[in-house]
Amino acid sequence: MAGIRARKQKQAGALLLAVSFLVGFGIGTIASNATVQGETLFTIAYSSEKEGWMEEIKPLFEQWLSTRYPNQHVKLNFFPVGSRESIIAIINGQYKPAIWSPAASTWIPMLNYYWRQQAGIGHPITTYNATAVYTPIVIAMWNSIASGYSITSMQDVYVLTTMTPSPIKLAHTDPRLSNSGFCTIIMEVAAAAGKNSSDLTLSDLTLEPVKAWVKQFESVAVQYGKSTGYLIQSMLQAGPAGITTSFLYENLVIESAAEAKAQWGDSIVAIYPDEGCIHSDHPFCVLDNAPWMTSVLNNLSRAFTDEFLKLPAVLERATHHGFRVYDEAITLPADTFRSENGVRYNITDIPQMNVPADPDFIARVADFWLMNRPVF
Amino acid sequence: MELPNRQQQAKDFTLKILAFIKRWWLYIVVGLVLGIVLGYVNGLITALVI
Repeated sequence: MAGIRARKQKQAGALLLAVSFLVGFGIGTIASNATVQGETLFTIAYSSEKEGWMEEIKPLFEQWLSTRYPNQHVKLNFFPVGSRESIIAIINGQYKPAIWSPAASTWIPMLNYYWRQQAGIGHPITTYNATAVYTPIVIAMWNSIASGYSITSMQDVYVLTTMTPSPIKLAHTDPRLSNSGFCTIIMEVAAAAGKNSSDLTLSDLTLEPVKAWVKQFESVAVQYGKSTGYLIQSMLQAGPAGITTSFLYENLVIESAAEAKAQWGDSIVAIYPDEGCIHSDHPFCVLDNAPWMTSVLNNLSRAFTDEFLKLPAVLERATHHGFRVYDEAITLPADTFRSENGVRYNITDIPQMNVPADPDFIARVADFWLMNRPVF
Repeated sequence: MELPNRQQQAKDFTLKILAFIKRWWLYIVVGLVLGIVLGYVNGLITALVI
């Protein structure tokens, strides 16, 4: 009898706890809604190599917004994410940014393509973007090797890969995941085909001499990183004996200069290949057709791209992080772009290469790499 | 003096409620606090989801 009573009391206690919890949950939800009501969340998803600069301009933007839109309560949410990874997350609805900033414009048609593929969505997700800064993709090499073998081009590196044993230990990011790896393969194919990358077509990927060249070049690869920021860290950790050569953004060479010298007594230098460099133009794309965009978010996005991003203070901060700017009125800091940091101040004599216009070529670059990379 | 029947019933009912609360107050408070905290966090996450 006492046992039955005790069990009933336990059941009543559990029921009471559950009911109280449900009531509390409702109160909590209403309270949190009241807290965030009237506040606009403004999100920018940007590629990871821009992290230092974006973190620095975030408080500036907050300040600028408070004078530009004094009655608007805006909460800023800027976060770094890989270009390719962010496409997948946006398509899945995991990320809902107002502005998306991949490393290069190459990725914009890809996002729009996948967005259109979704059932019932026939329009592109982004129709407007603005660019302000760029970084060339360079061959990053330890100075002892670069100067020892007088490397100036992709072809020079290729010749070293044919030596036995080869002094080259190559690393670049996975072209399926990262912009710099994607552009590296394009630069390799352009060098192999003897063309400017913008003239490459799908047929170039089927040529046997091109395949053999890329296969040889990739044969000395020791690592394929997930993101470029991680790759430079690997290069610094492994030292001149671990990874001798990698393909990076110029600003990462600048940022790692002091650490490389202190850690290994050697420096990492940027080699701007004679064949040309692909410039990553870091577009800021307003996702104007996304279902989560409101007129307030659209206005804030346009204010960011068309006004804030053009402010000299914003662009000057970018140059101190090793980014070059399109605005010629902004002078590059000589103490950042200098040979001690492994880079050149003036690169106007280096041919600029563009991402090929042929969409079939773009679609098959990663597969081409998969077929010609070593397996490890 | 005896209270009228309706007043007596109201008094009994109030005493029963007070006794119930006295018996079960810990369960009620724990449930409410947990619910409010989790409900608040859940509301914030839903509103601020990136």
